[in-house]
Amino acid sequence: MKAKNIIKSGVLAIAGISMLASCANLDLQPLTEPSTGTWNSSEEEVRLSLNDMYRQYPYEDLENTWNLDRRTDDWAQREQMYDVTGATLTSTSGIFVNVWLKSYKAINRCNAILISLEKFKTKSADLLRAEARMFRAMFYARLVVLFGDVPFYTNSITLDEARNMTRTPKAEIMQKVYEDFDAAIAALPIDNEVDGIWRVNKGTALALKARYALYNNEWAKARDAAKACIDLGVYKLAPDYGALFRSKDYSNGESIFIIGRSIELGQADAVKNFMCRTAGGAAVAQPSWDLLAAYECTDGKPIDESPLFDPKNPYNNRDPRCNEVFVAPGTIVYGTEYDPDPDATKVMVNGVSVTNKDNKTSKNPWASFASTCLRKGAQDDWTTNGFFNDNPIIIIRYADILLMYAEAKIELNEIDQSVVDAINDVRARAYHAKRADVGSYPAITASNQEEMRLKLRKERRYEFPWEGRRFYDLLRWDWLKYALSHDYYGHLAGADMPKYKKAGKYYWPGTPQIDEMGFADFEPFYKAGDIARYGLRVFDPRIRIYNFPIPADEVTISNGKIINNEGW
Amino acid sequence: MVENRNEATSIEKSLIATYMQEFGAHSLNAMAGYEDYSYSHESLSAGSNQMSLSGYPYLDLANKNILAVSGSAYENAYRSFFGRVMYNYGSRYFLQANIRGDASSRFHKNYRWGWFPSASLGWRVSNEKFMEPLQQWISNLMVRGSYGSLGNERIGNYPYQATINFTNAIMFGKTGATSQSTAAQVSYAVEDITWESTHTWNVGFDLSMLDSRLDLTADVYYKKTKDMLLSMAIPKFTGYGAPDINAGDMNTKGWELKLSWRDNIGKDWNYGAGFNISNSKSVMGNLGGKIMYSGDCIITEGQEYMAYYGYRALGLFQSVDEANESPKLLSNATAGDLKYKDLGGADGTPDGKIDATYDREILGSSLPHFLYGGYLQVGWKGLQLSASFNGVGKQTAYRSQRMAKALINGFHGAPVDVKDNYWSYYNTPEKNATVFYPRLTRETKNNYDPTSDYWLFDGSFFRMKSVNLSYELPKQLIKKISFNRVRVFFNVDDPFVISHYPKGWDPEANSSASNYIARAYTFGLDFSF
Repeated sequence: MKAKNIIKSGVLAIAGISMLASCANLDLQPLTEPSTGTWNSSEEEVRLSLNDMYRQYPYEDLENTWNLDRRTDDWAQREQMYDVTGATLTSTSGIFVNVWLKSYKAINRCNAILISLEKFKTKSADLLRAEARMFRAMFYARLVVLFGDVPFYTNSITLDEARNMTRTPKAEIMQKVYEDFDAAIAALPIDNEVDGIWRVNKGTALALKARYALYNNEWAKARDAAKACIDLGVYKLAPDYGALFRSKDYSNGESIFIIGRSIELGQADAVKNFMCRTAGGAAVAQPSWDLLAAYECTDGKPIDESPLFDPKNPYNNRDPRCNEVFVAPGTIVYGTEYDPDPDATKVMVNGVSVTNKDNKTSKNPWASFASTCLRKGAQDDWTTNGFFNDNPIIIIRYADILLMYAEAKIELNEIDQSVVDAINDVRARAYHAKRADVGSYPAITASNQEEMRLKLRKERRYEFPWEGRRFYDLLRWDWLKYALSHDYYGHLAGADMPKYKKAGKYYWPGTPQIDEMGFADFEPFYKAGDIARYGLRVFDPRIRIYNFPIPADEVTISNGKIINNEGW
Repeated sequence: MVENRNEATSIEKSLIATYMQEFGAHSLNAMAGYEDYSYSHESLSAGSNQMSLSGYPYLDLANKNILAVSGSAYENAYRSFFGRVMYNYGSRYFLQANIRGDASSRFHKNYRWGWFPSASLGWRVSNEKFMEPLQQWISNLMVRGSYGSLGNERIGNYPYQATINFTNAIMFGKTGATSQSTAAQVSYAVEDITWESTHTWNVGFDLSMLDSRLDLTADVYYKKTKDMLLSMAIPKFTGYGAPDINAGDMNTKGWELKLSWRDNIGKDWNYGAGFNISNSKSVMGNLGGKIMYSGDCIITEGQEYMAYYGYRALGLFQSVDEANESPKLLSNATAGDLKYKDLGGADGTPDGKIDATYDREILGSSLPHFLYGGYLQVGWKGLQLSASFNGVGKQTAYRSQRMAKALINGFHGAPVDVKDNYWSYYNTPEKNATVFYPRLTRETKNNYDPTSDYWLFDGSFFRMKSVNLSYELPKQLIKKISFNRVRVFFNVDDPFVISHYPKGWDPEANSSASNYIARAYTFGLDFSF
């Protein structure tokens, strides 16, 4: 025993001495992060860098959680107006500061990737180059649409260069954006699968080029890119409009570029605020009455002209997309029957009758103020997974390509059968009908440019609510001022609802007037005291395309090199 | 449920030699040493938000499809050489000199070493022969002077190295959605970043008088912080976060004073009192034009460190007409909202609108001045009464949103301070002219929230820290029951504070209200056998 102990302490002593003999090493490298000098030295590493563009991060401020729809007339939210709809936008407003920062992060990373790729001569490297150029083009174009002229660079810049940088005219930037898109379109294949993973491809680049050409009124460019995307022949409209938004991948055939999310993999959004209260949701925000009134009836006429419309049952006989975006009273969403009717004291939840927490009575002061509820994208498992939504973020889908093609052609005054067909394709799908079967859906017919323009614009509203599109549409059509001339209305507070119901005024006391652009006027009902006004929408004329405020700090530290947009 | 496992190892080695010698009235003490230190940290975390039993705290009951795991590791190390010489002659003259050299793994090889000397001189005047006649009056008088320097390198572990950060994206493929690694350089790295150093020059004295009944200590100092480590604002369009740099200098001037008195009156009475007060002001020196933002504050050249930065408020708009005719921050601001002053514009003159770039300015110091504290104590036989207090003589405080905002969230109640003190359409114009808070709305939230001088108020305070009353039973009494000591006491911690904070708020609790200061009453009995 004793001998063993001696040996042990001897070993310890030697260990101690050798430890003392060596000095602490100070040349420490980060353990879990490689240094930049050696990174991007192989195609695998470049691919990891490019994967950064598929993260939710650069899209989460605008494209995710309906952030852009919050800033339109499609949105109704308890006690909340957003910066754009309430005219409270400033040069320090959160999401527009973030989108500036994150777009540039993406651009800077694409630039770094392209610089690293200069020494790569293989064909597979060409694909990576094309991918980086596509993303760079998309992020610059997104900045231009919001901010107009912005700092522009395609190499790496030093801090000194950055401090002396001014804004580059938007036309010049868009020229480079199209060059990037065209290079990507030329180089990317229709299927771009690497190691079992689908990466952006020719269709993605064409679709996004069409979008940003359209947003910049470059009609011919938009038309050609959209046409080329259609002619690839690989995309189709998904058979079911509602199911499309519940599909979690590309299998619907309509999605062109989506950002994946997954509860299992730790990327999902809390969705409680958008769910009805009987199901355990908070019913904070929902689609607005403005949107509910906008949909046509199944005869293709607006509600104030159609004999099919009944203000007591406003969900009946409507364009089917209406009841895919809204939960029509009495239908089931995530296992829960939704019914805001003050007389509906009981509803069914998974086949069991329970107390209704969504009807408008004094017992439910926080039931949806607009008596509406979101259905689009709602999943059965929202109630069982802890109220999380992991639907992918749809960046662009095929219906948009069809309607962009039609819009570009209308603006070019090239109204031909292909324009009518493109719009009718989208309409027919909503009715589960074939385009040619004009008896089973209200097909549109060719008319003059002004009428076609209105038809197209209304069609976009029916097709894309709560998908981030209307925000840009209102900006580029200069329609924000019309949208915001109507306030946010809803039903009276609970105690007054039974009286309202008894007087036969539920759901709406009458049919609101719809103007030719599709905007509904609820003000007469409000003035008569029948409905409540829950928020003032205010138009700020400074909020327009190309004229969002550049973040204040950016202007401040530029020492006069960067001047903010007009009025900010 | 999330479970974290952290493992940290630190190895510290030091080699120190000391030398002491006294010869005659000379006393010498020298020391030299070497020290190094290395630290490594590894963490592992696993968790799931779907557990099959909520009361069972182990992850084997987690939903195996929904597991989050992560890991990380970092290291740092330093090496130091140091030496010290202390000398005194006849316990009257004191000299001390130190030097240390430190190298940190946080800096690049070429910028790694920092040398930090310091020295002090002292003269115990009271030990001089010529002071002997005064010894009844002055029991101790020491005059001191010193210079010292210190290094700081606490700024993350690898600030000079540009690194690639990994995270994940969910991507699609034939096998469905999978998590793929992504890589990006997130921060801009400045290679020549090095030690921040603080140099302090101090003079002072310690005085003990009247049979050690009066003690007085006074110090005046000047402190220069060089190459301050701060994160610098850079253009966001570079795509990088703000890097840590040696931003520039800061100059601090300050003084401290401590005074105490204790005495007995006769055999039964004793009493004492003490008071200390200090003040300092830190002004930013040359920063090479760089600006740093931090919350409501700014760090910029020639201004106090962390000065409030924001808009100048001109009160509340009293009418819609007034709002429409005035420069506004938000175009929907109207009667009852905060009105701001148009300070400038792109061409340097007021431009008829309020914006973050041209209409914000320094609003004043955010740091406390004239910090004080003290105690009072009086005793009679076994009875003792004592009290201690502390406070801040001068500070500008900020009325945080939680203190001021009625509608911070739909589901929060309004602070009691807002009641009957906000602008309203239902008030008379006379009442509206006197209220403090803007109208209650979330519509103009962005007009209410920005930093402005409207929300600044006098943050000075006086706190009675504790009051204690105790009685110790006479020894003769307790000896009979063979106790050594019996004491009864009653103590109140934080009995009151006098401040301008809104009702319910404490000047020393932070604005998120997470560290409440509790008032405690303690009644106790102390026995010893």
